[in-house]
Amino acid sequence: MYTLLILMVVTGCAESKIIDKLGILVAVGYDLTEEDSNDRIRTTVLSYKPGATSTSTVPTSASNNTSKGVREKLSLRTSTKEVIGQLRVAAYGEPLAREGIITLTDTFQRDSEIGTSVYLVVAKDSAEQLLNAKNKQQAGTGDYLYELVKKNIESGIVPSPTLHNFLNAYYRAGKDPVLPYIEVRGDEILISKLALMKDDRMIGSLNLSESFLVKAMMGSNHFLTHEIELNTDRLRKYYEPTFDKLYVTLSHIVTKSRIKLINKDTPEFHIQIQMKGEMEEISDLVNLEKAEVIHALQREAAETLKSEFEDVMKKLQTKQVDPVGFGSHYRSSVRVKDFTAKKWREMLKEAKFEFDVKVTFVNVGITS
Amino acid sequence: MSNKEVESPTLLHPMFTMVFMFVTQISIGMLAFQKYVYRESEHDAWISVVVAGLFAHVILFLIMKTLKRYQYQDLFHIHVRLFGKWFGGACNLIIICYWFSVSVYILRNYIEVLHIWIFAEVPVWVFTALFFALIIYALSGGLRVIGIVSLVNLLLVGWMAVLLYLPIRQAEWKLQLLPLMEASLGQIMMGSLAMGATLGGFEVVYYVSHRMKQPHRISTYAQLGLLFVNLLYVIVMLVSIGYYSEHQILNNSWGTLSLFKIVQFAFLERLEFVLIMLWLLIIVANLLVNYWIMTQGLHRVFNVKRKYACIVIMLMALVCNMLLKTGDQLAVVSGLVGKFSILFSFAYPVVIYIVAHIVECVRSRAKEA
Repeated sequence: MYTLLILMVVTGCAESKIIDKLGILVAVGYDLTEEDSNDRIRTTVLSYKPGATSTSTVPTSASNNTSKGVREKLSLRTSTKEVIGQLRVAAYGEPLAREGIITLTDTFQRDSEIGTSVYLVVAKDSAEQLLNAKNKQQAGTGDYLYELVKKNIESGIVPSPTLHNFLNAYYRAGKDPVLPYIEVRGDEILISKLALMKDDRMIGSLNLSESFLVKAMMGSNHFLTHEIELNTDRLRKYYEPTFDKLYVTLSHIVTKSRIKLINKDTPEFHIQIQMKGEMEEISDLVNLEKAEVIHALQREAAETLKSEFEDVMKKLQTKQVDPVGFGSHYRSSVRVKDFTAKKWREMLKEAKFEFDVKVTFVNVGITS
Repeated sequence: MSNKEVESPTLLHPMFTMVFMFVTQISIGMLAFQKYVYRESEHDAWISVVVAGLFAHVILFLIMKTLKRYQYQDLFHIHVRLFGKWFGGACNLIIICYWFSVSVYILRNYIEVLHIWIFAEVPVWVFTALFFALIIYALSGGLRVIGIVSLVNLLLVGWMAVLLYLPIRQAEWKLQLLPLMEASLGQIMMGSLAMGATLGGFEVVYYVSHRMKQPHRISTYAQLGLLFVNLLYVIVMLVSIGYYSEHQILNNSWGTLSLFKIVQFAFLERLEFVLIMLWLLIIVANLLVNYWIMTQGLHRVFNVKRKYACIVIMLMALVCNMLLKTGDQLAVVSGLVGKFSILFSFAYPVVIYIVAHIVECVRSRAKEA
């Protein structure tokens, strides 16, 4: 009885959160402020408008030196109490991302209210602009961003950019994070490329086909479609070319990669990549009834991909970033004491990569 | 303990030894042990956990040997038998102080979790008072009630282990665990020492054995209970090493709770809140056992009524909890209690075993002569 009594009295002690009086944040954006300002970081929050339909969100911005300290100023601009537990997307403006974002992500992991499944993205120019942008679909910007990124993780070129994945790569000596790079073009919001991060600083980007290749190297993945250019010289005997170039498009692609360290000293990696997909389109008329034609196409596709893989690795090596995590493979196969990111970057420059690509057309559709 | 009480129907099935071991070993330590072990033996931390577990099995074996020698009487009794009324009583008091420090450590750390995660503004004394209300209520039922409550609570929380599947899906064991045995033997041992602080608590059999039916079966159940606890710790450690990267695990003070941060259902966004609230059941069960041991001890030493003993301890615990105001104070105290735990769980039983052996040898020779 007494227990009950105490329980009833004490429940009033906790801070109450009444849903009608909350502003539920769906997205936050961080930018550098203008140079003449005293504050360092401009924060934009996107929260659901109380009482309205779920699509309407309101952006509010303020500047301060820390991302959480800004709440004090934000609360002067909103009538609701802002809560961050439902946060889906955190956007960082490119200039800020180029200076480093770890202090801003560190406060996320410190905060028990925020889950580790928040998506981190880099916004072209400014995050404030991104969160204020309207999209053609007329969806709430926060939800739109979330669904956009989510879909492209599941079946597109974006490797999972959750807070956990970012921190996991950041805190690992042999791996670097990659984040989707989001642009606003007119009334469109789109993922235009991937931002390559060196530690927590953005130092470059990968275009769409490079992103595909990088993601294909990361374990097993699914992709909706991918277009491969084929070398026509060796295929001439199988068909009458009407165009100079030949393209095939694979769909429902499943990739598997296996990375093996074959030489500890160079270091040299052997990367086996298997790609399976339906061949859905071919840019010229080719008779696909014969198995040898299909095999030839598969071989050519593998050749193209192999040279593309080599090119993308060269690019990553010159930039000294390792989004795939070859460093982790190295560390787990060689007994090295004090393996550091700095040492690995030096080794990465000299590393050799040997690709073994296998493309399989699971089928060629209804017609042959 | 008089003979009348031993024959009374309040005796428990020896299976409950397992339950008591579970609740005393998996309390607050389970939520936050990865960092401390990983700091010492890095990605071989799981080996440290295994080694510490093996040590615990050996110590438990010695404890059971000692208990058998004294017909499964409790440690308070053994102390008096060994050292006489005064010195034995002093030993009992020290043991009570140890359990007191453990109970403060557990409750205050759990309140810290509540503060960090859910109720940032509720003062410490409110939580403490709530816990004490529950504890007084359940303690009045005696060990039998405590045992059954613990069992039910364990079953209510146990299903959460299934959710480890989600972090397991993201774990990269091949990259994180290899190469094996990169840490030196010294590092592994240091890791085991750190793990020992978490693993302590199995000496609870010292105090509950005299309330069990068929005491010769306690040993089997105790070893089995310890085995399960060890397995659970090894599994959680393996999952953590696979799921987190090197510095991420060192950076995280509440490793197990953060593992559950990625668990997400359409109807429930953040599962670690559920885990924290369910963990309350484990904490309550653990505190019940602690307080039962302390009141039992005070009753034995000073012959005071258990009710008054309990209230005195609670007042002291309340003050101690309120004195620990900040996280860093708590960290210092936690470190200290961890050391006590190694001392009293791992070292002390060995001492008692050896002393008992010598004393009994001398006594039996004196009798013969």
